[in-house]
Amino acid sequence: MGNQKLYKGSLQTIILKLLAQNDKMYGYEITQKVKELTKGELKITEGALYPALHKLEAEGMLDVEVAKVGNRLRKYYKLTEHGTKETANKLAEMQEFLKTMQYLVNPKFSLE
Amino acid sequence: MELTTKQLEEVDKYISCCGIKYYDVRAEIVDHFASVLEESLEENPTLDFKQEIVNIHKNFSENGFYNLLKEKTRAVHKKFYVLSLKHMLGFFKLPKIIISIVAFFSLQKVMSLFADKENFFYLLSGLGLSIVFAFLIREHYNRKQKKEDFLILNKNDSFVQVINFLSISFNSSVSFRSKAGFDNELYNQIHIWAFILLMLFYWSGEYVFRQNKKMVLEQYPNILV
Repeated sequence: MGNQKLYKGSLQTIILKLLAQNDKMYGYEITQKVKELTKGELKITEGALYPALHKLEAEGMLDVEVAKVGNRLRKYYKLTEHGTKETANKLAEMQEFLKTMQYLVNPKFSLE
Repeated sequence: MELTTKQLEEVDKYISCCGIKYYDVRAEIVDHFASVLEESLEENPTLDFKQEIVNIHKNFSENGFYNLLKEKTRAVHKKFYVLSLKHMLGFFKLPKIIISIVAFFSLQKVMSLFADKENFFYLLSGLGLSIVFAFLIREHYNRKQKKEDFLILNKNDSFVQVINFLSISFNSSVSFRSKAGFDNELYNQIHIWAFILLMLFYWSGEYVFRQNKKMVLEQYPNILV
């Protein structure tokens, strides 16, 4: 498993990207999806995920839908219009960051 | 393997005991715990249910639910004040401008009936404080009726504190003004506008609170809020 700290600043982008690909998702589903996509390399802790979701909700990027599933309630998150625009911005920022990191860690490769 | 109602109640009780008293926060965590438990029980049906709850809690975060509750509270309060302010600014559209101007001229008219303008401003202070008082009584009454506490609605306590502070500030501003100051027409007009803004803020906060309550009722229809 890689250094989890390296992923820390990317949590919001990861959440937004996943929600852009899926209509709506709930907390546990997000953790499982990330685990599946990264083949267990990245494990989002719930203690980091939920505060991030609540922050995005407060910033108007996510909308909430509560549904009854079996005998309990489930809170689904989905992107708002503002969230959709912000996802594109954050992904572009991330691409730029990765490119810059590539220059730093592997200069030869990035020049090719 | 879906958890039974009894098992869910056990999870709910555990989370509640860990300090998450608000229903809107708890429901999400209960669902999370339940999802993990269902998966674990699927793999190992003889699992120690109580111990597994403790394990999930341990894995949640180093600080347990502390960060979650802190961030959620901050997010909810921020959202409420941003919406209140936005709504208050929304007053400054034609119909609300008219209401504000009518209120201003009406208060000026009433003020002109007072020989001692200071008394008029003390009357306004009294009005402000009685609103806070009425608000507190209503809160007390509502609290008795409530079945569950909702964080999104609980912000009302801090809203009362802000309104209370503003009303006291208004009251103090009356006390600090000199006798001669009350003869100055411009100062009196500014003071009336301050009162109108205070009322607008109160009104906007009330509006946002009602909107939040409506949203909570839609999301949790079977819960008395």
